[in-house]
Formats: sequence, C-alpha cells, structure tokens
Amino acid sequence: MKQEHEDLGPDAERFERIIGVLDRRSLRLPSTVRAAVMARIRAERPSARSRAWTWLAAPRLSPLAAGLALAAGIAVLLLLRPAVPSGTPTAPAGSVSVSVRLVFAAPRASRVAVTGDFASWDPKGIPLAGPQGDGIWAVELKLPPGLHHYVFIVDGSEWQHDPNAPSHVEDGLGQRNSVLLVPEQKAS
Amino acid sequence: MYDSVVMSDSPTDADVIASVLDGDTERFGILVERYQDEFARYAKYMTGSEDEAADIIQESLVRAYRSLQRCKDRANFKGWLFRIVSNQCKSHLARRRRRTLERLSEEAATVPALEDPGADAEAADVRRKVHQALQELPTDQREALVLKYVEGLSLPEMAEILSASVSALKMRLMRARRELLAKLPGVVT
Repeated sequence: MKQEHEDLGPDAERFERIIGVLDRRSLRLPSTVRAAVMARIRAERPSARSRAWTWLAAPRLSPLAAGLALAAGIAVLLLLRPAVPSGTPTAPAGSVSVSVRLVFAAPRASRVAVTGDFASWDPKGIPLAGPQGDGIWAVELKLPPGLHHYVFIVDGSEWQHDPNAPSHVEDGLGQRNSVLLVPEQKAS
Repeated sequence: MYDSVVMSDSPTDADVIASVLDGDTERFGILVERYQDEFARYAKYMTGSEDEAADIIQESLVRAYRSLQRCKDRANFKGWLFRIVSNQCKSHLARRRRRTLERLSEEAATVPALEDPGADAEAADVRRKVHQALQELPTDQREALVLKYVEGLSLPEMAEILSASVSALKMRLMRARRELLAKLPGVVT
C-alpha cells in the first residue's frame, strides 16, 4: 500500500494509520427496509388494466401513419393528426393518439432505435429507418397524449438523449431522458 | 468485487430480473434481500448517518425496480444498483448542503455502528475525528476514499462504476489523501 502513497512522502505511514481506523465491518440494515421497499413496489404495481394499456399502446404494434412533414431538419415534430387506423390502441376517452416523428442524426451508426415509457423501456427499442444521405434516422410513432420520456439506442448499446428534445430530465441513474409532450387532440 | 454473489442453488440476478419483468413482482424481494446491506456501509460513510443510509438504500431499490427494464447488463445488476445508490447519495448530499458544518460534525460524532464500544477513549476519539474529517471532504473525494479503503475496490473497478478514467481517479485519490491529512493535524503522529 505504501507505494500507492508515495505522493505523501513522510506522511504516508500516518495516512495508513489514519485510514486504518475506518470500520470495515458490514452494516446490516433493519428488516423494515426490505418491508418498506416491497410495500412501495406492491403499491406501484400497475393494475392488469394499465398493463394491458401499456401493451396495447406500444407503438411497435401499431401501423404507422405516413406522409408527415419533417420540419427544420433535425427536430421533434408533433403532427397533430387525429385519425387512428383501425386496430390501433384506443386512446383515453375524449382524445386520440397523435402521430409523432422522431429524428436523430447519427451518420456513423449502423442502427438506431428509440425506447421509452411508451415502449416499456424495451432495451431493443423501436428501430428508426435510415440513415438518409445526411445521416438522419427517423421513425414515426403513434402516442397517447401526455408526457413521454425516451432515449435513442445507437448500435444496440449506446443510450443517448435527443439533443433536439425541448427538455430533459435526470433519470436518477446517471443518465438523461428526453421529454416529449404530446398534446391532447379531440376526435373530430 | 461487484460480481454478483449467488449461491449455487439460487436464481441468478438475471433470472430474477427476467421473472420480475415478466410480472412476478414479488421476486424482486430476492434482489432486495441480496443487496440491501451490500451498499449500506458505503451509504453510511457518504452521509455520516445510518438512518439516512437506510433511506437512501430504500429509495435506490425502489428506483431500481421502476427502471429495471433499463438494466442492460442483467448479470451486472449489482454494479448497476451501485450507480443508483451513488447517485442517490450525491442527490441527498446536494439537498443537505444548507445544513451547517456543526450539524455534520454532530452526525459524524454519532456514528454508532462505526464505534467499537470496547475501544478505549483515545482510539474512539481518533476514529471520531477521522470520520468527521471524511465528512468535511468534497463528496467525490470522500467517495473515492471510501471505495478504495473501506470497500476495497481496485482502481479499474472504481473507474468502471464511477465512469471515470483510472488516471483521473489516481489524481482524485491523491488530492483526497492530502486533504484528509491536512484536516487531521496532530492526529496519529
């Protein structure tokens, strides 16, 4: 260990004695911690109905509407088209899913996907099409109104936030999620 | 050190995660049981308080459950969980900044599980001063010292879990050692 402390010169031994007083015994937390964790998890467990909604709302199962404009090159566009193809999930009462086009610049990537709460954070994600000649990847999703958190997955492993998203949040895991607000659209 | 420790007849972390994500929420209790104490010592050294460490571990485990689908390397759940605990400690400390140094000193002086009731008064006084000095270090320096000298991690292991380079960690440890010594003049001569 002394070799690691050469920078301390004659204080190396004193440092070792100081650091030696630190207690290295394991610390056992009270059993109430486990009980509290499991109680909170049970309280958060989604109902069968909401799990079904999450499954139905996963955009990978929905046919994507086409022909929507890409504004200002690299940007997140909210395309407010109320039409919902048959067979797509039913949005909450009084509103409809909204077509959203996500684009991401990754000229050197061999594949890009997107994942988020709308895809149950599936690590495989929903693939983006591309790249176009300018290295732009894109996908069109049909999302229910509300806030959605998402990230792009580059080459299957590198999670990146969307630099063009209007805002981001810390995910508590040392990464940032991009935030997308899908406004509610009333069915016509 | 952060390899998963699993008994031969126990399900692996990856197996448990798969079943939890498949809807068997109760199986998350296996991971809670397996790891709730694993980082408690680290959290206690970071916060100087056993109660706060328990809160941080609880919150970290709940966050891990919520984000389980984002655990890409399920075989390294332990390392992934550590990063959550580490982030929770830092967030907690940032929120606590407004507290006074005196308050921190009080907490450092009342770290009951770190005290050996059989130790003589002089040894206990040295230990109290060292813990207090640790609490006064910048968070990243305290973390580096705890991981290196309490948790026993190697520099490459620290580099992986802290997402820092080995050379950067060497510098951080060097500064931390000097800072700690500077805060303890005359202690353990």
